[in-house]
Amino acid sequence: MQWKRGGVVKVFCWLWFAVLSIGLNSYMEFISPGLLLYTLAIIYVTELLLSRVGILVQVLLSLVVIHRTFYVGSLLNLRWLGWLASDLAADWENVVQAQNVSYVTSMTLGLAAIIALFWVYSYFLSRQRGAMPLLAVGTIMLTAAHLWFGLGHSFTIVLYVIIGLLIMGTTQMAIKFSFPFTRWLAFLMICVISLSSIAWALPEADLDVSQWWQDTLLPPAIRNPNAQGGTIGYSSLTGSMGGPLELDETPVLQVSSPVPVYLKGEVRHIYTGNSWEGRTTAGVPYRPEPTDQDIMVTVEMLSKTEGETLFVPLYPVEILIGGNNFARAYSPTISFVQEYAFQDNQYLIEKALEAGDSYLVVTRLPQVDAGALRQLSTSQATQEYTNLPQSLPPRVHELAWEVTAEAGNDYDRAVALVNYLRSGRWDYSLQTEITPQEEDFVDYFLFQQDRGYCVHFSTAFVVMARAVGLPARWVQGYSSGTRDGDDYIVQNNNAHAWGEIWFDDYGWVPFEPTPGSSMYVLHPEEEVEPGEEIEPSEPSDPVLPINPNDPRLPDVDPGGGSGGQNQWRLPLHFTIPGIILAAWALFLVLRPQNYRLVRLYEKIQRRLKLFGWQRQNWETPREHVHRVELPHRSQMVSFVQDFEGIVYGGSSSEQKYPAWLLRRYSVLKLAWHRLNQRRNSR
Amino acid sequence: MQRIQGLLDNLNKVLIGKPKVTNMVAVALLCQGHVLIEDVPGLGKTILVKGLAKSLGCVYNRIQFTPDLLPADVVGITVYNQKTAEFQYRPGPVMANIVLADEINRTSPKTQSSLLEAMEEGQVSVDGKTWPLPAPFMVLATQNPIEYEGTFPLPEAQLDRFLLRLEIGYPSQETEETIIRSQEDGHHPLESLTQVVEISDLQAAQEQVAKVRLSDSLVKYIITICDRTRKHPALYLGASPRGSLALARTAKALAWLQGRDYVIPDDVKEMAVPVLAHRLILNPEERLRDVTPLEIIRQILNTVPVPTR
Repeated sequence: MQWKRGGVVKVFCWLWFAVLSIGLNSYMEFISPGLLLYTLAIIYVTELLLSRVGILVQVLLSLVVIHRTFYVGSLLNLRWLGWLASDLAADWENVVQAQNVSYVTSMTLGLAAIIALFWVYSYFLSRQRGAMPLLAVGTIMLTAAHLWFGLGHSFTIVLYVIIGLLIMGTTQMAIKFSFPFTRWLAFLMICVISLSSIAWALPEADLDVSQWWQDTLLPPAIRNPNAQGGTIGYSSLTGSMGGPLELDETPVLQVSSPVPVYLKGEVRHIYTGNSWEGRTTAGVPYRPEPTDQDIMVTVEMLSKTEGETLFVPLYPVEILIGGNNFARAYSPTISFVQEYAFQDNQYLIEKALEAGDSYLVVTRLPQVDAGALRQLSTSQATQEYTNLPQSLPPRVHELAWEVTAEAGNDYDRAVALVNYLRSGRWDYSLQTEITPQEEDFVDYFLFQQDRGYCVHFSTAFVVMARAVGLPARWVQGYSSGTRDGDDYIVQNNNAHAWGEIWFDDYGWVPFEPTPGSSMYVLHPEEEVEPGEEIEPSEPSDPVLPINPNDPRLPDVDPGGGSGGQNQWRLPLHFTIPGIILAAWALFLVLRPQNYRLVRLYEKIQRRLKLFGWQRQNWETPREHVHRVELPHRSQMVSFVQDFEGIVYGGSSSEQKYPAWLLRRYSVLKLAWHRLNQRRNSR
Repeated sequence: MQRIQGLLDNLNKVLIGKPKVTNMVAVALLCQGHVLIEDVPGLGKTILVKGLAKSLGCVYNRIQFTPDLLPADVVGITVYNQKTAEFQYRPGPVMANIVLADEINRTSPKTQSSLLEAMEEGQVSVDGKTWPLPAPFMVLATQNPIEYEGTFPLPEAQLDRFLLRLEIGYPSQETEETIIRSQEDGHHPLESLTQVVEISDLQAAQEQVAKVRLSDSLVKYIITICDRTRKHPALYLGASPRGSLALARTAKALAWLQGRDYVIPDDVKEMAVPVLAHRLILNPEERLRDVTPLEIIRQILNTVPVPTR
């Protein structure tokens, strides 16, 4: 019977807590209602099964939920916690300013608040500390939320109060508090009114701590060590190009794709005479309309990459990283805010991916419509894509013009350059000579060498294209790799470089100048057929041009503020109580459980002093206990006897004493006692 | 301990409602000290002493001090035995374990000092011969604080020889009712008392009392209290080292009686008044203002800090 009664009370209390959290969530919308119910279920189950360690399990499960929703990779690889920290830090300013915060922040804080609140609830209820304070605090919170937002379901307040009164009526808890009910109600009203007025009176917080937060808490980005020459492999180094390379068959990526695809790593546009500089990160991302020809490519990391480059197949329409909600998922971890991107950019992520991570890319294969391209000019490109260093010897210009002399348009000129470089005059070889310091890299390759690898061919292509006035840029990444069943295994050997040339109203078109390599490109009205490899230079029929500036394409709002998912409000006035609650919970867990008896006595004396109940220095401890009307006097008397045994009786002073007595003499309880004393004496 | 508890029970049966007084008597017994009871007649002094003697199973004598009492009436006398043709010592009433010296301030100082010598030395000298007193030996002297007419107040040096000075005080109304009811059947509770303590028990208890721990901090506390009496502006004479020694010994005995093997400051505070009050002499002007040594000791106890380390 006793158990049954306790069980009913427990169910009531859970219901009560559920009403509070659902009510608060209806105002603040920190997590979706479904997820809230799921969280409550987890909390209740863990509370039922594991009484003490339940809170740990709750925290762990919440972390799992956050991880599965927002991050990629293994849960046990704890680096995602760093990402979470940086995401929270990036949002901190918004939290402080009570503005919209990102989903990950609101969810994390929401879950933390729920667990902390539940902890407080179960603490109070399990120790029969009375339901009245919970009723007061919960009602204050709900009412304040209602006043602050003015929307949501106000009936939750009513429900909360009703269930609270029911609990107090049916259990013995309320009896513990001798404070009269009417006074509690008055206290409640005062609290609601004062809290609301404080909330209205508060100025807008204007505290920029996010930068400090990031600088202090996050480790500085790991820079790539400047490896010289050595083995072949992808590297985002700047520095001298060329030099002999060793083969390295370490698998890097596993690409699941119907056709072989090139993976773009990064794009550079400044040629210095012996290296490529100037990463291009800026661009105009946009989302083209999906077409039937788009393919899905899944890239799985086989080993950890260095740096922040994301390797994407040419050309991505949409990049999806992470758990089940891809579109939402990657925004916290990718540096660009826009959710869609196409063709123009290279893609950086803030944290290097590790083995086992994967991402999905909706890819539109490069389209080379020779007929259309022949009609297009290249004049709209900015000048940075045609700049060449002064040090470039004139004979490179002369050679370039000579090679392209026959071509009548820009596209044919580019094709002529590709054909010239692939003509067999230069062998493909990794055993190349290092370019002397004073020589130009391209000049040395074209006129003094008979072999080279992709870096040589692609650089020569881009430089010669610029020499004849074509806007061109240099791209490095991976070639399509070797086929393995339905997948392609990309090794370090497959690190590759090629060139892109700009065509007005068409965009960047890739060209493959390295002999022996071939890029799969789509020709208009051609079906996607796996395994088929087509030279980009082959002419074909006209197709619709892909135009980054096409007004028919939907604009993407760079602010992203009006996006539906980002409308989460978590104002300052509810974050701070949440933090305080969490800190309190932490304090409850971490505070010492034992004290040396003498120290315990001193601590209690210090607290009593706040109320003028301390021992006078001429008083013996015993006289003090009998003079002052303390609560729990019999326990205090026996404690004082133990104290005398140590101080006067010579018992070991190292003896530990449990801290429960200190809890009974907490400042709050003493204040309560004083209040009761006053009331009784009246 | 149990035996001594039995003794206390016996005393409380005859002196109803005064556990503090009986406690103090037990303390004096444990410390082998003498007690001066200063109170009006009829409060149970005699009964207390009789009860004590009966519980100990030892010899009890009462000496009623009158102005014409001679020292020989106290310590005894040598008489010529004609049969043996020798002087023979006839012991006086002081030759007992428990001696009740009633109204000690009514007799001449000469007689008083004969008793006090016996108290101090544990022996009597009669006509040049010394006779040892039996052990245990304890004097409970009484004096009436009301009548000053025709009294010889005890000199200070002699007051110092009493370990404790007690006041019994009137019983409360409830206690008085109990007292009346307890004697309704014509029998005094004293008659039903039996011996509960052997002399050897008492000696064992005294040994245990000596072993009670008195921490250094409390020794300092006792010394500070006595030192304050010496420096107190209202006092002409403060507590002697004999006073601080007595305070320490009685505090130990009190702690032992309460079942502790260590002294707490409360013991010292409780013993301070009975041990020290009769040893202090007020300045004449303070005496005229009706200040009592008791008040001054309380005042001192309320200023000396209690050590708690």
